[in-house]
Amino acid sequence: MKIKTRDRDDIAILDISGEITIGQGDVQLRKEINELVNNKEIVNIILNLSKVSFIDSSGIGEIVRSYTTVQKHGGKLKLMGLESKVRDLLTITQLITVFECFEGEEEAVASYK
Amino acid sequence: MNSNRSNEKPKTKRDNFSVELNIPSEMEMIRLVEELGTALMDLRGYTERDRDNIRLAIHETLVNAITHGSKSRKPMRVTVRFAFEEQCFYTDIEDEGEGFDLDTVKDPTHPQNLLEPTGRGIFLAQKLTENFTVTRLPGKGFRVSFCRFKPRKNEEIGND
Repeated sequence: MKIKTRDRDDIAILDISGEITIGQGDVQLRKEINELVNNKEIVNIILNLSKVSFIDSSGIGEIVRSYTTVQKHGGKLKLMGLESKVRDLLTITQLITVFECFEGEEEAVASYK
Repeated sequence: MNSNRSNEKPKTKRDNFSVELNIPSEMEMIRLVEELGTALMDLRGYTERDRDNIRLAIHETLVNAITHGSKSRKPMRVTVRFAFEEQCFYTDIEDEGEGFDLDTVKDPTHPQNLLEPTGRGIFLAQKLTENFTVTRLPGKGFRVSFCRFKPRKNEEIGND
């Protein structure tokens, strides 16, 4: 898994590609989120999942953990670019009711204003 | 690995074609098993969505078997069996660990559990497959079994 982090309008956008699975992507995502929240007072984060090819329950759990971590620091974590297989898993686990999900970046960024 | 394509009359329909792997209970082995399972489904023309769902079910069941098995000090083995019936792809995964009781698996969709970072693996495997069962093997460990029926032609349209 690869994560590229960029800033846009004071929002950290994490472009994630590859597989988010146990012992690999999940650890990397946790590290990246912790670095972001520890370096800023309030941090808003968008996870761009459009290039995620496979995600397991540990990966889903790490997104949940990221969501609660960001929330504890006074920010909001949102998702964008969900492929149908990722969306299906969020629907089955009912996490689709928890996360704010957007098709594209403009829409996701605008939602913070 | 055993591959059985004999012309003998099968004892059951599940003997039509089967592949069995006996692997060390190690996380590094998971990818290999997933790839074999999905490659076998390719041979029978399953849809991409079916392959993705079974890949995840295999993955979650193996993670569960291996992480529980790792609690023991002795080296454990996991046996994986893939079998085809005419319209169904079966997976059996047997471990030597202490297993789990399906009835005690928490519902991760319950409002109290929704923001828990763990506890979705077996739930997902169960939801993405058919006939998901857990069987205690006396003196041996546990077997998790599930299958995927091949959709009929009219069901395949719109499945992807």
